[in-house]
Amino acid sequence: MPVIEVKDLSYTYCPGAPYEKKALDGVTLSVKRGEFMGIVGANGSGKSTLIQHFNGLLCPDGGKVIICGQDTSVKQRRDELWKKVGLVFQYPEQQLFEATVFEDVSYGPRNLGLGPREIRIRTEDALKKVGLEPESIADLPPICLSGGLRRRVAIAGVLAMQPEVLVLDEPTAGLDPLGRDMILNLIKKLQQEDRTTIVMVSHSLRELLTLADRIAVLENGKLVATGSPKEVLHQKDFLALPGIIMPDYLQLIHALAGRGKKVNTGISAMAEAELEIDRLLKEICGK
Amino acid sequence: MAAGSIELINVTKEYATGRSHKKCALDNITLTINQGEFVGLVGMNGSGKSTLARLINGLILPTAGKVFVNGIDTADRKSIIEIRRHVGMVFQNPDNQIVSPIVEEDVAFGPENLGCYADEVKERIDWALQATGMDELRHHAPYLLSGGQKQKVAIAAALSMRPDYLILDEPTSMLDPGGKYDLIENLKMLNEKYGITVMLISHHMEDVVHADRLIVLDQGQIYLEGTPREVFSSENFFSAGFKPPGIVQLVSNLRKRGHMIDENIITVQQMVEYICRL
Ligand SMILES: Nc1ncnc2c1ncn2[C@@H]1O[C@H](COP(=O)(O)OP(=O)(O)OP(=O)(O)O)[C@@H](O)[C@H]1O
Ligand SMILES: Nc1ncnc2c1ncn2[C@@H]1O[C@H](COP(=O)(O)OP(=O)(O)OP(=O)(O)O)[C@@H](O)[C@H]1O
Ligand SMILES: [Mg+2]
Ligand SMILES: [Mg+2]
Repeated sequence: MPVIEVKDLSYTYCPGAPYEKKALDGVTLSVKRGEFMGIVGANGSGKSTLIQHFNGLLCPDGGKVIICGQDTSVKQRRDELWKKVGLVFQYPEQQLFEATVFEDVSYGPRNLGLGPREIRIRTEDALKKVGLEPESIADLPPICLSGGLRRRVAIAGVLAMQPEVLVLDEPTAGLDPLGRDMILNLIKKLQQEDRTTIVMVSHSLRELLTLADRIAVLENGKLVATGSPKEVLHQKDFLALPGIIMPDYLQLIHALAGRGKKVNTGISAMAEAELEIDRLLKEICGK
Repeated sequence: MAAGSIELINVTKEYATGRSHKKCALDNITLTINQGEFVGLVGMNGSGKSTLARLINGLILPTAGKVFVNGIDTADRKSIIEIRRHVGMVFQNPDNQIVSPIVEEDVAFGPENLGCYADEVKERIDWALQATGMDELRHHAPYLLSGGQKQKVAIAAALSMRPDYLILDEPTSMLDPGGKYDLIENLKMLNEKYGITVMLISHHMEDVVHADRLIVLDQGQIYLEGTPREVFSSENFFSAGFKPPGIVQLVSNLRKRGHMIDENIITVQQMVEYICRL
């Protein structure tokens, strides 16, 4: 049974007002338990709107969203969803409210009704997982932190809940290269070892091509493609979509093919590109 | 002090983080940015990039040392308006920057305050909205936009100012790849055509390959400085945990496989041309 089932979902902001915007239009999608689903699409295509339906923050105007077997249109069920579905917002400032980092990260565990010892363990553990030292950071106010450090605290706060479903809206934005690798490895590990279901929005095709089991592509509120990274990448017209550009190593492969070089444009990973160019160079130099 | 430059002289910035605790965010930095330069600024989280940006436009003052913009001391509070006319900023979080309830007004705010004529204001707004792809949403409310769209409004507002110095604090963090590409192209154009000095902060090395100079901050100090190519090939760059753009990694891996590829290649185009010339 899928953990997330979205059936013909539509959502309109400010209906009837001048800024009315149909942000989602007939989206149907499902995510299996333990699956890693990537979501891409241009700015304004509806990614954040879609995933805010997964923890009950938004309620469908049309269609249905069923999470862990529960229809989210029932208010009471929607209110319980936060225990199962952890959502990391696009901007960390959207979710950091408490006076200290410790209070912020422990907010979830406290609300789950855990004991003080367990709360402390989970909070410190989550901070360490995102590369922060609890001793030096726990007592600081989040507003005193740099942008990337706030991002890490926001992620830690959701990890501390140990949710069944982890939904992340551009989690690597603002992270430095070490932080990016650390968080991506962590997410992958949660999926592989704890069978946590992952939904991750990202503008980095490179990230999604290496991590996701499946990718969903949104354009102007509509779902225009879903499939394995390879299927999506090679779907006709995918690269012509607004806002979508290949990672640099694939741009290289396609540009070379365009100049008449014999390279396989059917690849998706950086390591494959390396092999292709290696072979091409050997061919050229062998002549 | 030389006009036509930004100078930081022995600048230290400490923040109070509690009654008796301090955090040293910048540690005795001396740096000159010349008019017309395109500077990339990178560094790990908390290394002091945003602090440096805020010091340059006078939003915060150094704990020790001096910051001069075109010869004006940022600590001279009478001149703060003058400094803001010279230095345009895109903040790390667009919510800290958006001032008007309508996109178009927000973008007009800068040029209007600079005392531009109405025609000039209109021309600049139209251009900045086109350049960021926000033209269709010009009558929209900025706070009712998506994350990336908000960032584009903040960028358009700074672009429309055409200041002497344009400081952009991770402007590409929420942009889709198309928007990223357009922004970098527009910054290059402003730099070349109008001589606007650009300082671009980013965690993505692809964003700064075209910079004249790349500065790497580490724990409040300048750790490395040079052309992007020099920095990308430095042993210290790798050992600190940074990675060059994908193409540079590819070149370096292929060299390890025994191909004598030109080490100077840092962009896709250069690599394509190189291979096609073989
Ligand atoms: N208002 C403040 N009060 C106290 N400490 C601060 C404040 N602003 C920043 N800091 C601290 O100063 C250091 C430098 O912060 P800064 O924001 O300049 O880093 P940064 O290089 O921009 O990092 P990032 O890549 O995460 O944006 C960090 O340790 C940060 O937590
Ligand atoms: N509160 C709101 N009121 C009105 N319209 C909104 C609101 N929030 C978003 N929108 C609009 O709905 C559409 C979808 O927004 P959404 O935030 O889901 O996009 P996104 O795909 O997450 O974009 P980004 O990559 O920029 O974060 C956009 O056109 C946006 O302008
Ligand atoms: Mg979004
Ligand atoms: Mg910063």
